[in-house]
Amino acid sequence: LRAVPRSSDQVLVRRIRRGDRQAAEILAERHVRPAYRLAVGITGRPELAEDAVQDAFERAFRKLSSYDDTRPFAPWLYRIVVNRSLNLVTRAPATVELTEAEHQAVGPSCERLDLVAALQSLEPDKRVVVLMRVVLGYSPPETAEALGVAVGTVHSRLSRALDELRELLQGAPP
Amino acid sequence: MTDDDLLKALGRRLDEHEPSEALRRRAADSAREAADRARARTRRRRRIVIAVAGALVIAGASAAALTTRPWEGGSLPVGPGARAGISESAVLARAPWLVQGSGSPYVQDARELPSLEFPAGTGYAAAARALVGSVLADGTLPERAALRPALERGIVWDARARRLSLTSPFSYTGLGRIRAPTFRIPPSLSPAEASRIVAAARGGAPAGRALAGAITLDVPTLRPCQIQGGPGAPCRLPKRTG
Repeated sequence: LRAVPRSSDQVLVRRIRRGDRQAAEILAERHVRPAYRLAVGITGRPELAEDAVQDAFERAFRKLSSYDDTRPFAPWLYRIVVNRSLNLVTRAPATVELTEAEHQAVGPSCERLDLVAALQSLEPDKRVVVLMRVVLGYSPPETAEALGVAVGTVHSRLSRALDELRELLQGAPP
Repeated sequence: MTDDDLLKALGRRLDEHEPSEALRRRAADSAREAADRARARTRRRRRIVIAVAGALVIAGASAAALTTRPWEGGSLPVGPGARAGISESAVLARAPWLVQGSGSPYVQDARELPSLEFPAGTGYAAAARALVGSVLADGTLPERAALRPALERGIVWDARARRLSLTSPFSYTGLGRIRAPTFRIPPSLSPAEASRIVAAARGGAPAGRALAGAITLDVPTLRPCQIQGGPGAPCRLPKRTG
């Protein structure tokens, strides 16, 4: 029992494929938090993020057989989370205005409010590369592999995203 | 504000978001359902179908070795559940010793597959048995082993790093033809039981789990040149022309 939490994702997936429910719980618990933060960052709305993560986990585990277990599991899962989140955002209003209640939920400091709001104003592609870095700690090559884009594309999106974020924050009222 | 400060500030902000209990529960439910589906699939397919093609070689008075050769259905006596696992695995599905697809059966030009690194203290025989056991059980790679980059072409076993080639884990002939695993039927089996295994292997007829479990891997003897860290230089493989 103690050894299981230290198992790699791939080992856990193999156990799930053999019907191991405990491995399934561990794998889900391991990834639900970063997945949720990723989704919050993309959608800007906790309730949309919950929907996106639930949908992504259902899809991912339903098609676990299509996961190539010679490759890392996390990027495969998070790519699904990103796609589900983006799908919800494109269906929701493009510019997300936080309600007063959501502002409260977001946090009390102005810096926090501005950062979240500013993040939502970035184009989705740029938002995603920033979040892969911030939430998952992925390097540009790792992000590139997870998203299926060129490393140079990740670098340029990240650089532009950070410039835009800085601009937005500097232009925000104190 | 530098890029780093900006990213850290955003990270701190997002770190405060926690998924609700309900979401965590639903995520775990989704994962458990996957395990339940896998378990149900295995239960439905309890009977192991011996699906090997090969020749029987008498080795001694009452023991026999069952030599398998790769074909599109696989070279191991796997059940449907394990076969599904094999087809889902990016490595096993294109292993020339297991599935004879469109790839070359010669080690000189077979598509290189990763190697498997085993825990400390594992020898080649144990590694080969673990690989066969895991594939037979459910069509996956052994869980105590980790995938690593391919070994140098022609190397079957890296003795220092305890890594087994997945391109040719059961060795290859002098010309480079990758060997499929060979199984031994123990002398303790009655002639009738041995005959049933042979008939099942040749005809693809269903056999009981006990019979399938009775056959054991005949661990090949590697040539020194097939062992990294061994006494010999790497094998000289003849050039292939097509």
